[in-house]
Amino acid sequence: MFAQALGTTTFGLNGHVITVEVDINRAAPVFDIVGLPATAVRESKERVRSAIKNSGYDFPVARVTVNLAPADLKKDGSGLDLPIAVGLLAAGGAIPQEAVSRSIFMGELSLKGEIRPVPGVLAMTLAGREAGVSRFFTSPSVTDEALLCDGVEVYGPKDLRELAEFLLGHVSLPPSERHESAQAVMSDVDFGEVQGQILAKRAMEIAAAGSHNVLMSGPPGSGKTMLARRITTVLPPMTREEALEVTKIYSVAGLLKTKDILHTRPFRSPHHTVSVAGLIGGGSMPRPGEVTLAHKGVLFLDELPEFPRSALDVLRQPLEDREVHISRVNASLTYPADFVLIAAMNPCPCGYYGDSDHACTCSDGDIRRYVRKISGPLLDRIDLHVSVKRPKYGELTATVQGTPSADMAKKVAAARRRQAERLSKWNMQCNAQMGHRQVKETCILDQEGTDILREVFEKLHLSARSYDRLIKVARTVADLDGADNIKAVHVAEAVSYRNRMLGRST
Amino acid sequence: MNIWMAALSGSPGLGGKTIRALTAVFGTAEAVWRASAESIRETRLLSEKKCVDFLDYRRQTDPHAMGEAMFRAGIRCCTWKDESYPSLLKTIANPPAILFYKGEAPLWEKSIGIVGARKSTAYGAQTARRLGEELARADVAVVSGGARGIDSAAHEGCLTGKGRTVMVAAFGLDLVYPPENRRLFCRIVEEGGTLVSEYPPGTPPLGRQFPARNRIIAGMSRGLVVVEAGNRSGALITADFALEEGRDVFAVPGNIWSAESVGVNRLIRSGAICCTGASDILSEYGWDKGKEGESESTVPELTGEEELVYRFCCIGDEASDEDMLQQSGLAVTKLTEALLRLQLKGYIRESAPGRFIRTGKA
Repeated sequence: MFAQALGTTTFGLNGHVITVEVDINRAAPVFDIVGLPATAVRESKERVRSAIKNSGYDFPVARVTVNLAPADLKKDGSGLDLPIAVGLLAAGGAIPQEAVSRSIFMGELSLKGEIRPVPGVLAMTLAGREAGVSRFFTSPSVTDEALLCDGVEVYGPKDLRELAEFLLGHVSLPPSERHESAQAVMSDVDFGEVQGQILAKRAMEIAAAGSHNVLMSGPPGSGKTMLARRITTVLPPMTREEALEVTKIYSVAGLLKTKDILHTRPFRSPHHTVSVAGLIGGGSMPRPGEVTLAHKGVLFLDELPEFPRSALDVLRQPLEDREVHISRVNASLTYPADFVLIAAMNPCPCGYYGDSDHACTCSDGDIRRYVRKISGPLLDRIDLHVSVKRPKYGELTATVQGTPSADMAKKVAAARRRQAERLSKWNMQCNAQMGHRQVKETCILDQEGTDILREVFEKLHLSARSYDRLIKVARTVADLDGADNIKAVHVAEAVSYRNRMLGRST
Repeated sequence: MNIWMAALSGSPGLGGKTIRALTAVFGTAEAVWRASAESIRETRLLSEKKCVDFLDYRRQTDPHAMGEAMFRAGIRCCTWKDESYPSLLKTIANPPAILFYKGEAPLWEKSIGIVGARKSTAYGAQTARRLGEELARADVAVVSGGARGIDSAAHEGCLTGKGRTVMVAAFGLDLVYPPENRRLFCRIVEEGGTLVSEYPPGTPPLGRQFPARNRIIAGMSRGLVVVEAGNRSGALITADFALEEGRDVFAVPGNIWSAESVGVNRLIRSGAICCTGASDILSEYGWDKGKEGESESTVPELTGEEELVYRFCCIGDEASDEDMLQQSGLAVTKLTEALLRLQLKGYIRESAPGRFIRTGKA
């Protein structure tokens, strides 16, 4: 007696449709699963056996062979419990084969027979739809997630018994409907709460507008973290494709907390004890790391020099290519990693270098050593360097609101539109993505701007390497200003964000 | 070049005094080097231990090879009998028997030493740079120790003023200490200055050599300016040497609350000449003749915003861009432009990220 049912598994960020073939033979009772099952899949034997019994069906006393095809793909996760159980019921004759075909089953089984949710349902549904399947069965708690994919019919039976009865036509089960959350969740932080810090806020605005990476340096308690947390409030909202992509990543990583599509851009702030694998992804079956979880959003690294040098060095590739390639014995994967890097650091080990009220107790050598922990190539990929000052008491208690996020977001959105229009022929969205060629073609300086730039390079001894970075920032400043050509004021502001750290000029 | 003298100076335990006494007995340095062990013992100038050390050293050293190595490194030397030995230095109590130098011969008419703390504040570095530049313009050679902080700022200022600057090292001239000053030392040699040391090439920078070096700084200078010195700064040792040799000591007053200024303010209290600019030094020696015609301060040509920003950047105390922004009410773009233009014109300098200070120009 043979039957088959469709299930799915995830590989990297994508779902794969798996054909579960079940064969029951008259022989000594054995239950075998073949087709490269990982431990979680191998263990599903026990769950499936108990679930079938406890749902009131007979588990065949015979030789049961389950094959997972394609056989060369490693199958991980507990989501294959349900198709295996359904296949068994069909092979045993409890449900007709026709009732289970053209459907995909995704879910883990409890011993009692309840259907439990698994991570990655969205990716699996998308893969199923691509394979031409339109009927999906999963746990009732994740039907909303599956329904983020358009044009599919999703059912959420609460247990195996209900599923079987429905497939037999004994009970009716309406397809699930999407529960739209009332509205996009309002962010609970706002730039209006940041008193003073006009320059730092301005830098954040430029970073958001051009998607530039930022390094903030300032004494402890100057509000670096506060500023960083608020940058997501001024970034333009994600398009539906972007949101779906990000939701898919979170779904596969098992981090999706809401049932809804993600509306706000991700903000990830890993602690400085993070490992290399935690940061860029890894494991024997590579899992997405922080850079991928920050895709389309912000990666915030507080206390940058405290991060292990090895972790900072691996950031160079994703910053450049906007994706990470991870190769392991079992798999070689590419994860997206298009994020804005916001880093924060103290100016010196004691934190008070350049502070007007505290004396810095570090020697020149201490500061040099501290700053050298950050490698030059990483600094080269940071366009904006901002020094954040500690706010004065008067600023903290001021009742005047700072510029609210909504106003900044409006300017940012306008600047982004200009960039997207200008860079559309190269398929780019923002200034930070520009290469040397785009800089040459799109960043036109007027006469005064050219003059001041030449003077800056001669007198402030800037390196050739910093040229493109400076122009890109000036281009973003001009975009915020609504100007077509880069003027002297724009160059001047861009110059003020250059790297001025001790022992690391530009 | 006297390679025998150079070789003698490298011997452990032989100071300027002993070398001079030995050459007085034997006539020349070469004669000392070639003298028999007995004849050296007979002079009774060396203790037994020092004598053994010297003889050991003499066996192991080839003066010709040493001279060859010095030639290749561009290091020359002069003894206290030579023309090229600085005349001021001959007058101190224990002048070095030999001076190694790199660059121009250490001969100049007017010289002033500038010393101060290694861990300088923006104010101190700014002052040292300014003094160095002004002295250079008045044709005065600036002597300092090539250390971090005030010393480096003084050298840099002097190079900016296209003057001669002299770095007195406490180590062999084939080494660089502190390592980050490699570029500065090269510039000094390239731009007509001199690196000087009493130690032969290969001598590492040992702690005890620094006070000895300070006596040469004091000895080579007509006057000594202490720019910034904490309670126990090495600059105060240099000032003591200068007083012992009868040189004038100038002190730049510092912030009374600042720990970096405790030492220098104490110098003023005990009678050092208060120095608030190069003119105080130049007038002391009558070196400012004929320079009166030049008006000291020309009003800088600034736009309204630049003028406003320039006023915020007071000399001596840095102003932060954030403060200026909030107090002036200027827009960010206006402020950054004014700051950049003032920097390009040379009126202000960014002393630390986001902190600005006047350069004192105009």
